[in-house]
Amino acid sequence: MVALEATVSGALYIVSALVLAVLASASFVAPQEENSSRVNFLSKAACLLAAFLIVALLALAVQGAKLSGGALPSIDILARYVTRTQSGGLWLWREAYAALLLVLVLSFRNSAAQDRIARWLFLIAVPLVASRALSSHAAAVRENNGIAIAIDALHLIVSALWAGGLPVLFWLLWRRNRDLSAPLGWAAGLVVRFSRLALASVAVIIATGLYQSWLQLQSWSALVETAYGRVLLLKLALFASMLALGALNRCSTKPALLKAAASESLPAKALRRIGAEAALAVGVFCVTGFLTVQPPGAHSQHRLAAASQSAPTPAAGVEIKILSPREGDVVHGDQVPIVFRMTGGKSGYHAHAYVDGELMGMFETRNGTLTGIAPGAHTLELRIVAADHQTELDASDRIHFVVK
Amino acid sequence: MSFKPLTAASAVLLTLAGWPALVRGHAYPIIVLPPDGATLREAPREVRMQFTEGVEMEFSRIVVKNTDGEVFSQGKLRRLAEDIVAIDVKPLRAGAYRIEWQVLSVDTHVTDGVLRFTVAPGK
Repeated sequence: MVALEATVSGALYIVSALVLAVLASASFVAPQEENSSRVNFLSKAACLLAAFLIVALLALAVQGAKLSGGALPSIDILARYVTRTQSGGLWLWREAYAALLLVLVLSFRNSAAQDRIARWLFLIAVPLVASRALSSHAAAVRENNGIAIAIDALHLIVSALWAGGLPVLFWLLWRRNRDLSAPLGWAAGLVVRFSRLALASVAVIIATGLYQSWLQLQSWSALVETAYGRVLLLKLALFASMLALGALNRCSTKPALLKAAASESLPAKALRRIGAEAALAVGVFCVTGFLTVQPPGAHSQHRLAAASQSAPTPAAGVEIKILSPREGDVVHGDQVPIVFRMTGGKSGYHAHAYVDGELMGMFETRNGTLTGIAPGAHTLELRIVAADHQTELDASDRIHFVVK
Repeated sequence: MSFKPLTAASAVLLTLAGWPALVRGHAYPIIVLPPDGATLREAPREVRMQFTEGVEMEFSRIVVKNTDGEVFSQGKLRRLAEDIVAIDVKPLRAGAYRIEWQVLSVDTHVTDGVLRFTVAPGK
């Protein structure tokens, strides 16, 4: 089931990236004067959107099977998932959006002013790719998940432009080599324009990728000690190979193409190198599919927290202070809002809240609410805890309050 | 074009496909009341669980059973926060109990597990 889920997830990445890459190629990479190639691009975009709809249906079936304990899902399960869950609603929205985009592509495929239409369709396709961030690991981040989702969305878009654009570029060059219908200068022009797009995309991919990696791992050890970290290492190795081949293509293949006579066919070596880079790009998407089914490295290191039986671990620079409720405060109702100030130092990650010695909550932000507190006098103690949810550091604060 | 890179990538993916033992779900319980393995002097009125990430209420459940399989949880699962849920339990007699849980996390993953606690005799 896990392998199937990862495969479908990877396929969805590939198809959605290709949709955006084909429309980006029609908008920014295809020669300005060539409307016929844009018509061709839009036909391919329509096929890819149809493939997206089918793969998304497969993804829904896999999700349904997960919810049915591995069995074939019933219509009732699928309907409940789509209509009553956040991720199911998102699935429905993306499917409807892709269908609408398909109708638009088919409607405008043969109209005049193809360059302008291609750019509009490209812009409309961006949310389809970016919206996957709303049900990704970024959506599950506990703090500032709006920022995490935005950065993941940006990562998805630029990855689609570069890694999705490479197979499209390879296909264009391979086709040109097969029938020699266009001069070599045409191919060189394509490579130059794609190269510019790729260079900008790679810079953003590295920045957003580093942020996301740290967010999901939280420690260097998680990179080698967790399954998520190891799959990420594999992805990074493929990405580094892509970068090396990309640099080679930029420094060697592109100048060779620009120097070659217009009548020559595309050098086989150049085509092989671009093809290898495109194959690595597809590999990166497949590995990303496996990454989505792994628990983030930071989560893998979590263990069920329990009241600490041992002495707190000494740690420098950690401090916690309860700001609300204050000593002796009277709270009405069984919900007790808490506000505190915390300096985590190098190892302090979040706070455990104890009421009368019993662990009642965990807070990663600097405020929260304890619920179900019985009437009477209570002692509230907050302790700073390391990222493993087990190691309590020697920093705590304690107050007394009354619930009426 | 050479297909060696494609062959290598396929081999890596097949290796990963055979790696299910390392794969676990995403929403882990980090705090459970009553705690896993605890022996309680007083019977709890509810079971409360906090997870590593937000959970969807649909497809999430907590069931409290005794060793005979009799169900003691009652009513609907309540959401106390994005990542905290609770279920009421009927008055419990002394004995051993299981908390069977399953949640659907916001990033679409399903996790489940079993925790245990004991209510000590005498009260």
